[in-house]
Amino acid sequence: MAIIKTFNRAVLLIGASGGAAFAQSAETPTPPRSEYSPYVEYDYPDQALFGDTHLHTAYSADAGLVGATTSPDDAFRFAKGEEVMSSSGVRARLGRPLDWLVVTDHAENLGLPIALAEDSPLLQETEWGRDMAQTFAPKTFDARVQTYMSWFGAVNTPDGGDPMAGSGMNETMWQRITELAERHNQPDSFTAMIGFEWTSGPDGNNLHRNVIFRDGKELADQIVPISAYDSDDPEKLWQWMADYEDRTGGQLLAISHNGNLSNGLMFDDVTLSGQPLDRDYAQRRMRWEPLYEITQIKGDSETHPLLSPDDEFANYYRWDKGSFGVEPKTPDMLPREYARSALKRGLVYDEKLGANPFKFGVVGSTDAHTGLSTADEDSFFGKVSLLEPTGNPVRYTEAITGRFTPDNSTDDMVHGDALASGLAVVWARENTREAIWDAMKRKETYGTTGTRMRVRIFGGWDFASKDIDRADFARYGYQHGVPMGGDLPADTSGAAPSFLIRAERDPDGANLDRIQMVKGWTTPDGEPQERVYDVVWSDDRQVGADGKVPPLGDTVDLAVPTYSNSIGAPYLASYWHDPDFDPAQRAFYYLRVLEIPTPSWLAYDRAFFGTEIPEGKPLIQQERAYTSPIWYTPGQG
Amino acid sequence: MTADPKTPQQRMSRQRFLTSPLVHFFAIGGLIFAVYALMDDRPDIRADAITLTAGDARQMAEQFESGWNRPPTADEMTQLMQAWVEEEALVREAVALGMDQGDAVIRQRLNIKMRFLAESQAGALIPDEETLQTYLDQNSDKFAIPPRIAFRQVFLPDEPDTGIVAIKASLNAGDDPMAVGAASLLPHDLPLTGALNIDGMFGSGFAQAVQAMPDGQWAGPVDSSYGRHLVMITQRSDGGLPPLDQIRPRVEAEWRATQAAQMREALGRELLGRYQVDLPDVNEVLSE
Repeated sequence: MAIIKTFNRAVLLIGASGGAAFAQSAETPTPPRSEYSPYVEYDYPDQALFGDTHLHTAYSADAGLVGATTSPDDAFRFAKGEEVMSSSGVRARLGRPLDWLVVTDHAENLGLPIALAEDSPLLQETEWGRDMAQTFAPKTFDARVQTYMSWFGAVNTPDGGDPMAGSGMNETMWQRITELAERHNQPDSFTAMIGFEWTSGPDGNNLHRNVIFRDGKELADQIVPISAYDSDDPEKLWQWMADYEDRTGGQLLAISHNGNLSNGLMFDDVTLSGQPLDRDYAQRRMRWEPLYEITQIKGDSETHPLLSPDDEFANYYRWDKGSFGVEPKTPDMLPREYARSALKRGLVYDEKLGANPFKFGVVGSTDAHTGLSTADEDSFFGKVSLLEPTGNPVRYTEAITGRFTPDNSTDDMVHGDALASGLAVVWARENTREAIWDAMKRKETYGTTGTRMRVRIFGGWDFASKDIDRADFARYGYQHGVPMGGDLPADTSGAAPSFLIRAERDPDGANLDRIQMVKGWTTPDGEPQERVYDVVWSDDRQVGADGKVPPLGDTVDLAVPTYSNSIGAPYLASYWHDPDFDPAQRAFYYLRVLEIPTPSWLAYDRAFFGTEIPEGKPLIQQERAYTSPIWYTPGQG
Repeated sequence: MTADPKTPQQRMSRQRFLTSPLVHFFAIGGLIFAVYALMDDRPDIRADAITLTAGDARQMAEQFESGWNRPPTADEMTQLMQAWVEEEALVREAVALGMDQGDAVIRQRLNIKMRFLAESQAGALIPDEETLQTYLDQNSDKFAIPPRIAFRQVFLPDEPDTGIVAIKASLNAGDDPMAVGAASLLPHDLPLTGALNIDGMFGSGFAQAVQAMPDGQWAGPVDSSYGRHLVMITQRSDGGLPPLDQIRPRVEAEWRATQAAQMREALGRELLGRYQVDLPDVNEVLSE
């Protein structure tokens, strides 16, 4: 053992906070082994698997009726790295395949565009179906749009019920989708999961959830997806999920998204039926929807400048001008819309109710309606097929939300505001449906805006600064602490919790700017608080008078566009312990990892098409990752 | 054929169908039709006669029962049969008047029925082992597992080559690989994994470089996007075609999808082959 030491990459380990100093070439004590082979106990998650939990194809009415022609088959082939033809006729291929994908088409008249395209006799089963078939029959652009508007009217009719109920269309289309997932699922190289989107949007306010199956076709085919026709109420969704599990022995979880477009409904202080939140609600909510999609094309939902005025990175692709409905956004809605404030308010609820209704982990995903999961800036196929890569300025000016608000011009969010995001990352032992789903269930996940950086955090009570260099980092982390998504075990010492933190850049991507710790906690009088700590950063920068690490500057050349990794660090790591810890306060801790500035998709568009990008849209941005939090509860593990 | 068709129209269509080469192609589907025809116990009928067999009537009664959970009363049965007779008469008269011509809904339904005929037959086919094995062999690219390697790796610090030689020697002498090396988030021990997935983790080209290393001993260094690594290959799998019994459901699903597509195409080709197709010139149409 004598010559073997653990070697620091000290040159990259720059900056420290929380009073922790880095170990310098520390000898790492190796724990005694009970087995000769160290791999015998090697059964913990060690692979970061990159995927998308949220993708639509032509089977979704709001995709297939407005330009999308891609099927789940195309979606899976594209995710696996095969070339496919996009709906607008542009050849498309991912730079790197994804590890896994869930196709989540809207449950509301699932497969309607396919049935129309095929002149399916199923449409003849109901009067509405016959009307739709007739409207669609000329198959012109106008006819499609007319059909789309009719569908949109039906789906937004309160208590309207499914106009195709009893036709068998849902069953037929669902089983085609599960069949395609089954055909593309190749354990250990690419996982194709079964899912759908339940599209609740009372008054146009976004309460959507993606429902993800752990199971295969055999169990999934025993139901048809619940839709917003059945109910707008998430509590009804959870009941439906419970019924599925009872009936089939399978397992489901749901992921909510776009609180930023919910006008305060996503993390509201009352249930949708108007009741105050109680313990039972909190427990059921976290039982069924352990994750929240924190970033996607329609904006970033981590936090907002009005909620986090001291956070200089809070103003990132804000979509804060209303929802899909007529009601404009008001500032009082914001705390009930964004992940960070919900996590904070959840601590207050936990104290009050004995259960936390907002104790969620996070992922990113695309929500693309193109069948193409593209989260890379240099090949962004957009939100919908009509806005796929083109030199036509409609790609930047087309309104996505705010269409129905009274003042139509100023409160629209347009496609030029889109964020080429994101990815869902799970820490898993193997690339299978079961391993990926289990990681989601235990919230051992993080979300990125498209970068494939790896991020890890372990929280515990007896980590030491020298542990950050351990070669057996993960094994040690699991043995002595909890990973992202976990709860700190009970502790009575009164000492502050400590964290081992690592981030490694995308192997084919940009260097890292910094790792930040975001802490939320409650005061004794129940006021939620937050603070962002710069934990470790690149390039030997000095903390400024304001207590913040100054901006890094950038290496972006917009003409190409390109950037250089001559700034930033390929790897950052830190030991961190909470300098402001109060054992009587509930708290959560999550990481935000920033890349160095890189060109946005608009910059790539401008260079390729020569188009003029509208004023005020970002050409340079900083990709990032958000981890699921680790929670601390006084007196509890 | 033991029974004459009901109407001249039907006679034509059935004869045409049974003599069509398509039926021979759709061997099983054709067989179903032939058996159906052999079992047809309907009496000879005239074009102006409307006859309901007892068997068909019993089916109507069963249908009633499945909706009402009880058999129909005698009155209800009489009404059911009367309604059927009226429908049959109306349909025949409508057809005689050519009312089925030029109706978009009827055209659509007939179109779908014919296409469905092809696909439903694919769904009903039960392939034998040999068929699936042949399909598997002929579509090996679809099912082949790429070559995979399992390996352990140690991420090396920035260290002169002499230091690396020493680390390699100590690892080959049995030292704990998880206690050496530089900090990273890369897996220490990878099970059998394909090149695409390996490159996704370590950066492009890494898998190929690792593949060239010897088995069962620490070797390298090998360059990744992050730096240098020592690797020990623990297992290799040439990949290739897995045996049928391991992937039977997937092979059968793909085979059936292919059959359905082929039958759809064949149906289209076969039908078009029986017509002389006359289309106006494209440019002429567009110039007007």
